Amino acid sequence: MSLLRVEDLHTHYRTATGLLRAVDGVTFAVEKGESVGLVGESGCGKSTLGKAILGLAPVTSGSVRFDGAEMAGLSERALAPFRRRMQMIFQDPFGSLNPRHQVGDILAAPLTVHGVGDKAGRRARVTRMIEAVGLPADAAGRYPHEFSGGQRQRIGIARALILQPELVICDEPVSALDLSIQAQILNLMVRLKGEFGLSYLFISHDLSVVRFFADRVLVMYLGRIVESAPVETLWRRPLHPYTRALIEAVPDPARRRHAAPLSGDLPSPQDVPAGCRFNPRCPFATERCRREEPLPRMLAEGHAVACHHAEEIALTGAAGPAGSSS
Amino acid sequence: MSLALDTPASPVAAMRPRALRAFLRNPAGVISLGFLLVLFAMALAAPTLYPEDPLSMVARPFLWPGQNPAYPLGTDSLGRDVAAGVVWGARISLLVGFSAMALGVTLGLVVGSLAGYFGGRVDDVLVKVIEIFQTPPNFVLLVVLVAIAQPSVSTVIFAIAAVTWPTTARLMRAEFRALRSKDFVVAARGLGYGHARIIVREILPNALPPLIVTSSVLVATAILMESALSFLGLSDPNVVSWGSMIGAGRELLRTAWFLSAVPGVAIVLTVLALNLLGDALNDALNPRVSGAR
Repeated sequence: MSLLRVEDLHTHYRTATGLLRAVDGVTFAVEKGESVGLVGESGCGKSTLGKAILGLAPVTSGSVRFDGAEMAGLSERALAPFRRRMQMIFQDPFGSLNPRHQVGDILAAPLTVHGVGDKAGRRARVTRMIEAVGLPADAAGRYPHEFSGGQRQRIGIARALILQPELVICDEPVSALDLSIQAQILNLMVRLKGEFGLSYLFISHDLSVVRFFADRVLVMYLGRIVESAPVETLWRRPLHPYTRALIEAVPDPARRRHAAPLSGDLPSPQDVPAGCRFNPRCPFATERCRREEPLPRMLAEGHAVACHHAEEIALTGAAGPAGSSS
Repeated sequence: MSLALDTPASPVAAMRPRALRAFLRNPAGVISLGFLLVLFAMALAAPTLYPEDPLSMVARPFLWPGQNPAYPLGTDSLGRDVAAGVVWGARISLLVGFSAMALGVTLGLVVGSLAGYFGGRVDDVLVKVIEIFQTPPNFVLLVVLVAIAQPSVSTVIFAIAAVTWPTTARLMRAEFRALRSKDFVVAARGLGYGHARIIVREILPNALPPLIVTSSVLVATAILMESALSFLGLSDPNVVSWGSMIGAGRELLRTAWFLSAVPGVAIVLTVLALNLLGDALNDALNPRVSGAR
């Protein structure tokens, strides 16, 4: 049984200007011990998806099963037992910690709320966690603003792990940090994964970070997963034109730039294009793409893609759109 | 694997001492606070300073200030000591000002935080209630409320609180709305904290600075409202207050203007001090304005 199984999940927001389809039919699973990367550009709904899984964003329809138990549509009270088992690490290390609480209180509060241990036991657990994430020993008595961005992110990680969850959803955990600190935090997260037996859903717009971190990658575009594959397969042989554009946009001195970067902006999730939602920006788009929405198809072991022309595109290899027929 | 610590940020001074230092650097705020403390001490010491009832006749009427050293601020048309009236009046003004503020702020905080935190239908209903209280002009509503109830110090306090709480409620609603979508609040929900804990422990401490500032201005507003009520003779007739002294002196304005001017100056100074204190607190508690790190 998968640790997390998301099926046909929708999160729609009613806004003054119309229905906003932030997450629009997403299906995937995270196995125990797996790190799944979720990539896509800003505004594609990946953060909303992460929050919806945790019950922090509304679920319009669909199913979220954690360890076999349905979570979608539960009340806050009914969600409480799940809260202990899945946690979130936030993007902004400055906004995600309450500036008015000392670090020791920030870390002890989850234990108090869930009635874990007695006072001395909680304090010992906080001390162990502070050590595990590499914070200075006197951190407990200090306020968040006394720490640097990287250290604050360590505090955020410590808070997420203090309840010993099984699944951690990381929402761009390093994108607000300096490059040198990013590596430290990623290393820390890899180490903690082994130490605590975690599974990760790692949300990022940075493909190189995901490549380092994830076992399997989901590519999200405008509220849908358009391609999913093991990380090296995806990197070597991307099947969806959007994935290809993303990978080719990553600076890599070992590889020549093959295709023009993606043109145009992400369409509004209030006005999703008919047919394939990528067709207005796709260099391979045909009449069929404008008419008919492609469903995800399994083209190889563990490699699914939602594109009518994935096979032809794969054959064009790295040659770009020049040889594509219309 | 790299386990080295990140370079720590230069140790920024903790929040509270910083605000205190910023406040102490503001002369207007410090002087205002000093003035209010002296006023408090005076009000508390009134029974010792002037053991006589301030409403009793103690000397010849219409003594001008300075004419008789025993009555430094003179006497009124009935021979009552003006200085005793000012000191005893301070008790009423401060009592009404602070009690009405405390009551109004508490009510406003509860309504505003619930409306802002829960949003949706709860917010719709509570905002309508706030608007009902905000629609009639404040002072008209106040006069009506006091006229319906018997005028006494406690009904005046309740009436002033009833017309001023929407200010706090609106302010707190805005603060809670802004803060509830912050990541640390989302994190608190994700950790399974209950609503009460999130409101009281997570959001409220961050919403306090504007509340403290508003509170000091609300005390000034309440003092002015009480003065206006007692000027009109709508306050408790059995106690001396600054407003009732002005009202009594009004008819003698041409012959004995000091009877209105002395309590008038007391009101001006007190209200000014409270407003300056509010400004100083605002600067001190708002790091963007104080610029001090």
